[in-house]
Amino acid sequence: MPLPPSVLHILLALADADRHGYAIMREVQTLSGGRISMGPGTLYGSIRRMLEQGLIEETDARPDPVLDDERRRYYRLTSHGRNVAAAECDRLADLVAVADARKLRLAGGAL
Amino acid sequence: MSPDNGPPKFARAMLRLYPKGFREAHGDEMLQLVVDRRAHGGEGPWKLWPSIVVDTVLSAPRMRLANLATNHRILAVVVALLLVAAFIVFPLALLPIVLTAIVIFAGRRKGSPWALPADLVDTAGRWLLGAVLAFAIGVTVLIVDAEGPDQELSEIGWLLWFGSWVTAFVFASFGTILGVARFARRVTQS
Repeated sequence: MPLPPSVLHILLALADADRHGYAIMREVQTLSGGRISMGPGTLYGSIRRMLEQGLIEETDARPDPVLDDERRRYYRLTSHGRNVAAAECDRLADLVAVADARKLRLAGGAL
Repeated sequence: MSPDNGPPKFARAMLRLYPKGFREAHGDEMLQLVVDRRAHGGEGPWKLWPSIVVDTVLSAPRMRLANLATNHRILAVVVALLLVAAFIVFPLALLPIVLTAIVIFAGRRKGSPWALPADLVDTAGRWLLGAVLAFAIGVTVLIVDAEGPDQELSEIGWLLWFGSWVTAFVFASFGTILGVARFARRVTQS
């Protein structure tokens, strides 16, 4: 803690569904409003570290029949990863609350 | 997957810049990601390829350094200390550049503290990398530093500077010739 932005976004992308690399990349783009676009090296570098840290794990399920291919591996959040993501989001929420109290946010809350 | 929509050679070439272990674990997935982006991402080549090059340039060296620090701790510490010392002594960072070339060429000896990661050894790419690096570094140093150090140096300092300059010259010549020759031999043998 704090988590790197790429790690947090991947955790968020996997919070509601198991996804493969390309789906994670697309979801991260959507979640960040297009501000974060991960290339293959950044994405799989983060995935490798997250696998080592037990934040995510591979799954044998193939939930995306449209984009299915044997090369694709699907990843899902572990319970540890879900706890870490929740803790990080709480930390960020606390920070935002402080920012609100000190009137540091822009009108509309977006940069 | 048909050959037409498979990963292009360029993507495979970029993949070789990553550590071997990482390539083996995630290489196929990374190539598949490129295929997906070409097929479904709606990105033109003018957007796709520059972004992949930038991503590779930023992430591959970081992984290799992390690999080095994990698997070749002595080498990483020695190189790091020498780099820091060299940056202090030589404003043009001449010595670290030469040291980089030395590491590339001296890293063949398996088991020694200077050994490079296994995925860099005994490959044609290593020799081409060494040749390009030595040539670029040597020529840059020779051009930039040809008029001598931009500050007064003691005799020992001047000798060190001159020695590094000569070493750069030797590496630029020797490294390029040797690297290209080895690369050509390995390519023709394979």
